[in-house]
Amino acid sequence: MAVAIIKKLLRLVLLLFAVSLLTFLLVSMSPVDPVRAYIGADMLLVSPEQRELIEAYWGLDQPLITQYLQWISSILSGDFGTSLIHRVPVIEVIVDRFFSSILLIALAWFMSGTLGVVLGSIAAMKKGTWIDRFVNGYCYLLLSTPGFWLGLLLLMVFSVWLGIFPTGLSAPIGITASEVTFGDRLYHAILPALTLSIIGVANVCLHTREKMLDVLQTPYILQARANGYAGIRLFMRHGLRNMLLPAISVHFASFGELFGGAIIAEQVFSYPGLGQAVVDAGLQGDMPLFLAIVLISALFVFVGNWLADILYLVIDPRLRKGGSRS
Amino acid sequence: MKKNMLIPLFLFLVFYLLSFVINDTIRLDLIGKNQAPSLSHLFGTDWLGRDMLLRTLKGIQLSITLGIVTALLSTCLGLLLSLLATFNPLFDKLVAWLIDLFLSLPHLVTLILISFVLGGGFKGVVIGLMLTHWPAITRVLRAELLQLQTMPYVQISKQLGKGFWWRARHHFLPHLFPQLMVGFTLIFPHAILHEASITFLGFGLSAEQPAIGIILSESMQYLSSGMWWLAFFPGLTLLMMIILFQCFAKAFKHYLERDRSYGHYFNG
Amino acid sequence: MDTILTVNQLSVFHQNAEHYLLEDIHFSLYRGQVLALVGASGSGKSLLAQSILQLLPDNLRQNGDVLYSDRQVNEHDRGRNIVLIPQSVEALDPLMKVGKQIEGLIQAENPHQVMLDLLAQLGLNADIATRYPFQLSGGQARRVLATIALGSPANVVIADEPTPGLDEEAKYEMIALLKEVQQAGKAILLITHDFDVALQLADQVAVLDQGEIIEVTDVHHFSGDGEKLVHPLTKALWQSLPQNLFIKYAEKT
Repeated sequence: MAVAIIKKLLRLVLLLFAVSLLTFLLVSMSPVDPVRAYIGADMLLVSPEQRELIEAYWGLDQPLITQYLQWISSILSGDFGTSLIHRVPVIEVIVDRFFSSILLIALAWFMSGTLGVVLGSIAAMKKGTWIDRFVNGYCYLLLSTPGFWLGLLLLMVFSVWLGIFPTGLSAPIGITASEVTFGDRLYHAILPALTLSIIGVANVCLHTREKMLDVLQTPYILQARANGYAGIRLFMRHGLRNMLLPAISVHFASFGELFGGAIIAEQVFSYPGLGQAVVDAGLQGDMPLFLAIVLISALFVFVGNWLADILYLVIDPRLRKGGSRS
Repeated sequence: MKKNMLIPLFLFLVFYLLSFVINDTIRLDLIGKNQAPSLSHLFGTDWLGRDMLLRTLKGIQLSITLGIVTALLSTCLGLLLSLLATFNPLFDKLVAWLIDLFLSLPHLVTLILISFVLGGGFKGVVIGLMLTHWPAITRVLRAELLQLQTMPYVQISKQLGKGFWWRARHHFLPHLFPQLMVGFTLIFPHAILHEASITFLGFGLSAEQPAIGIILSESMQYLSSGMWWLAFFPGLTLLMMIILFQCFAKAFKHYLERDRSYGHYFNG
Repeated sequence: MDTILTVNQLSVFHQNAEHYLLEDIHFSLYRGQVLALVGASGSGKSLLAQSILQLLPDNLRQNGDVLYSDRQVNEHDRGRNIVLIPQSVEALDPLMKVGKQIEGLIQAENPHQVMLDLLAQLGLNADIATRYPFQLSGGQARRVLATIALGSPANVVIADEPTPGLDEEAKYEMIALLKEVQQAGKAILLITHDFDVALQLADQVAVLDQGEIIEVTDVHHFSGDGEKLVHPLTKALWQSLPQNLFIKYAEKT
């Protein structure tokens, strides 16, 4: 088992390196001029000689591959460079926003996961009834809904009309960072998290339903029925344990979707997380920050996929005890 | 069954073509600006007095056109790569690895990255969407082709000395055609939603384009002053168009699968 | 004799087709006896167990009577009065320990102790209870399946194809286990394609062909050249057994 986990890990680390190289090369080829992005409006005051000095200082006159090696080795030693728009080390920008984003994503992950599994299970157990059709319809409706539009609707209803939730930021305005309580952060994360969850439910719900229907077709469910189990007792005894692992696994594998959703939700609600940072960095040509967040998002997807894979190895007794999954 | 398929498609096409017929240029009307929805302006007007219904229809037209183009391009790319994968084992490994590579970044991040590199705009969006939507369909096609290659009739053609492209044209393409159609219908709504998202974030179409993403991102500044119609109707229209298409796609897939279920006798 | 399960005019059909999968099935199972239902694959016998327990797939319908002690069978009889003997290890939940699955059927003060006693009775170690189904050997699995029938309070046991693709040795082991179930005082409805198994266990044999029962007869009537059998197909079936072929061959030469 340990060998399988390590093998998987190694493969994914290699992939991560490929992503970093590809991203670096792509970004270097972009028409965005990093010097201009750094200097901003004062660009006219910079002479060509000064410009060359700056480029030499940043190592921009080196071949691309050397630049990449320098960049990746400094990242591995924990130095992500300096953000061009925030004028502070990238790592500071990221640490600050990482917590906000993780809070948002974790909230959404748990809410959509719980609701999705519950709804999917009910739909499967009641297959063909109006409940099933309703849940199915709801999922397909959500799959067709633009996430940012849903966010705008929630913003209008809860913040503008009802005034229950704040319109932006992860903390109240006018107090210093040290005074911000966890409660404040949570309060500001609720609406974006709600947007993310409402959209995210569809995926896990449809998967749960599908998986549950598969489980209901198996010989052991027929046997359990013949043994007198039905309805909620059947579900709790045999349905849940057989469906839960694949459902959670799929939910882990959806980390990428969740990150994408977070970018949009953060933008709509002006919630200062990684998503908002990557948009700003991209729009304003802040390459060090942009590259760092792209890598973090890849790491995020990577962790999700890895968890989805090893979950079976750790939990499923057939794999845990050296058997094979049929 | 055919009715389930044709009615949504018909409605979808009517809305799409309607936007071409209305060739009324969208006029500025500063006197009639910021009007809530009424009979003369069903979707209301914006801060320049432009009719939101017209803007929305134009935006939908652009979205759908973009969606069709990018879904078509992605499907073709998927087909090309999956055919390439059957060519020899090395290519197969390469394609599998490329799929993993593209799936290792969140969809939206890849899109932002590509748009960023290409400097945004129409070209950036089309290429970005094309490059982000091929992995799923390539996976399906690759699996299908792997199975197809072991079929006796394909083996016989090979032994008779028919070349790769002959087999691709006579055996693979006809077999894959339904998969390609289904793949296209699955990619299309995704592409539209992603285009709107990326444009909304500011990486996609430029502000002069009448895109839904632009309309909605502009509307954000006016939400706090209570102009809900600026965001509500354009988004709802987009949602409706996508649902119409999804209904068609679902019925279409069902229809094709019913036909294909007979194929199991041959596939063993 | 005392009938415990009666099936009368039972038909099974597809919800939107006239075609019958089982037609006008009728037989009686007597208390403590074994009735074997023999039919080739495709004769619709696999649906019989499900229709007796009212567990047909959604798209199938049934009509006719299934009586347990002179009243209609309902879902409360499942596991209590009628139990299905699992066909293979596939019928055990792959993610639940074996002991817990057996306990679920035992309706006694101390199900855990009863389960351990049953395992011991069938010559299985107590540690089998803590294993998952995939960890059982073929022989262990068959015994565990038998404990499910023995542990349940039901007096009617339906064994649906209990010897699927087993080699000779495993087959005789299963037959011995089913005999043990019968000795515990339970009536068995044995549904099988294996005529040999039927003859070794059954008191009565019913022959199923194309969804219909063509003959129900005492097991002793299967003797000699089959002169006591009524239906030509039953005769043919009897005569086609390998040992009988040999007799006929020996007689001819």
